[in-house]
Amino acid sequence: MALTMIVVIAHNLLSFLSAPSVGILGYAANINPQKVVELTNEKRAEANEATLIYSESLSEAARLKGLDMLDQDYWAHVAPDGTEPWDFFADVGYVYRFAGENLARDFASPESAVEAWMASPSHRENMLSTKYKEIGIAVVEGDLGGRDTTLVVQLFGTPSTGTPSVPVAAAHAPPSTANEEVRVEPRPVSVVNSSQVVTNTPPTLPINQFDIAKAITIGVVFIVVAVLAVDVAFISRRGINRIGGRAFAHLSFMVMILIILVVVKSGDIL
Amino acid sequence: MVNKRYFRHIPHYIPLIGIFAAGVLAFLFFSYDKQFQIGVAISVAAGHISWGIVHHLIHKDFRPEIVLEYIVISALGLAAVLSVILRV
Repeated sequence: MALTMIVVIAHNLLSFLSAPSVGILGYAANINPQKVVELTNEKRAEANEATLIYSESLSEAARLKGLDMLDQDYWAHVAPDGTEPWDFFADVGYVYRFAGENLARDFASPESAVEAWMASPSHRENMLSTKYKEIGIAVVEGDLGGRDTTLVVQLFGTPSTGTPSVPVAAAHAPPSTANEEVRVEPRPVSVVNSSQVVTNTPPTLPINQFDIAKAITIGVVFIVVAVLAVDVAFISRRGINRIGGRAFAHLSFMVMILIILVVVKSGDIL
Repeated sequence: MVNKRYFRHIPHYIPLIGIFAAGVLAFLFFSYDKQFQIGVAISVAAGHISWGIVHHLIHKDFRPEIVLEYIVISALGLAAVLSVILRV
């Protein structure tokens, strides 16, 4: 029976790893960029830090970064062709003194993405840094690695005001490269093409693949736990001696797996 | 009636439960680090197998087939966790 279960779960695993997710489900994200800005400023307020000003220029740079990740199919701060996050600042003409980038993917809500960033020391440092004055957010949806993905790109910046640049110690921050005045014209925030959608409004898909995979796996593991529990009760009541592993050890292991499956959350940050 | 052998095994089960509790806590506290979570899942599965080997060696009822049983159960649990984690 255990082998059968392994085959079922392995099939589940392989199908999610290999199948291009152009099926009926898609990913149900409900991430409003403005809400991410609000939550970030709430966290800064709790830490007695100044409120970040929303920047259309940074949001445009974030949108370009998200599109580039989908176009080149990568999940990283630096693109395979060597393009760095700061190149997108330059693309929109944002001349920074300090700059930083946080990335998130496949979170179901703005709250969960922000909480994940806050739980990571390097991302938290970016979010609460006193070096930054402005923030830009883009939510980009499309196919990444063969799967429907929702990317959240959060950029921080402090525009250069002609003062000498200062190296930044933050994990995702580059040294400043210019000291010119910032001058950027806002660009449209929505782009649609045949393979991907970029939007600043939350999509309204009904379900997501992570929740489906999680529910199915929990169901399968629950059945295994139930069978092991019956086995433990049966051999205990009958006083059966048999050559084999300790059923209680197996049961406690699978219960741990069940708990992990319940607490594990969707989404990844970078 | 609960067999005396279960009470005899209690000192062995305490570290086993400790390993499992540490695994759950690691998943809770490092929810942002998928690579770490994968490492934890593999480590706990390996811990389950190792515990089984040591336990049966101490109780002098070790057989190779028993190791296979622990490996199968561990592989099942690991596959379940990875199938969800790797979905992101």
